[in-house]
Amino acid sequence: MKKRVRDEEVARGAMGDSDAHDKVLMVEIARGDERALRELIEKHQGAVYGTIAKMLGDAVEAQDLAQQVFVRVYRAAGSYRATAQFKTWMFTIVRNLVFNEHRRRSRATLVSLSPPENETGNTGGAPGMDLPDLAIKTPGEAMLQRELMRKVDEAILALPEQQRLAIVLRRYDEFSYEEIAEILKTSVPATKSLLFRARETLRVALQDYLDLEGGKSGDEK
Amino acid sequence: MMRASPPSDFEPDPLRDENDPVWNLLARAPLAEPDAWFAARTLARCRNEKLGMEPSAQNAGWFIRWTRMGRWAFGGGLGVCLAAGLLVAQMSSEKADDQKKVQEAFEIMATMDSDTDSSSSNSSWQDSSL
Repeated sequence: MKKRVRDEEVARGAMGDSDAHDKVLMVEIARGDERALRELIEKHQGAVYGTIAKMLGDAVEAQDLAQQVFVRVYRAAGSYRATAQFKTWMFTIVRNLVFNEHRRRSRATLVSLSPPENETGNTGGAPGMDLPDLAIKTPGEAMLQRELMRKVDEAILALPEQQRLAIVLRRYDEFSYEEIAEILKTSVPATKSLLFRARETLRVALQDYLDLEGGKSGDEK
Repeated sequence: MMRASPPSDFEPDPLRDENDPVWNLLARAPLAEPDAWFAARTLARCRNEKLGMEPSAQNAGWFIRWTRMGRWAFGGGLGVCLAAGLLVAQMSSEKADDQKKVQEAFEIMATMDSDTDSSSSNSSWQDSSL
């Protein structure tokens, strides 16, 4: 228990250092330092792009929106005041852009000419997504893994946007409840409630795979 | 539709995330990664943005906007002139037609008068005694 507390303190300290470094980078960007901008982009591109891709399920849109996030960060560098954590502030931009994109899409749904998802020929993940290589050994396992990834992504995409962002921020970006509440502009109890509902929905949607995983781990024991 | 709500004593346990099978299953579908050129492309986009924000570019933007407005104004003015010209031409042609009709009417009346003069000298209405 003591070790866990110490680990958390170390992690928090490292996060604090990282945040302080981000803030220094923002000051340098405001002075016109392109290297600082490159460093900031390279540091956060994975989290920003990955989160947007999970939220939209579209690689091309995710690229464009992720670029827009950094353009906005760059534009705001001059007026940026380090009142909150940099990453929380940046993910507020992510939230705004993603929710705007959802609204735009919901308006455009009626005139969509794109083929249904199962006709796009993708075998795994959301349509057009570059999925990370998980170094799977046999083709059978690879296929199963791809199917599982696709199902998980579909289940996440089926969640309401607030729940979806909450779960992605918590599970993949490892934000605290307080930070998620700040990004979603809501209270901490509301964030906890969102996460609870999202988990329950996912539990129902992925029940078959949970049973399969449970069976596997049971076999291993 | 009934919404699932957390139990009243719901207090997320930091350890629960790790123990939750759903949480572990989500880990099997990690975040997608951007391609190797993402940072370079984003930097280029920021550079373009910077060029767009510079004063000379802003002036150029104003110039372009004014030119565009001038073009619209010129087009609009030309349209109005054309419409006015057509209207005037139509009105003048109508006037000429009317004049022609009046002239014809006068001519007809004049011929009628001369006919009546020659043929109805004994008409009662010309009788001065009445």
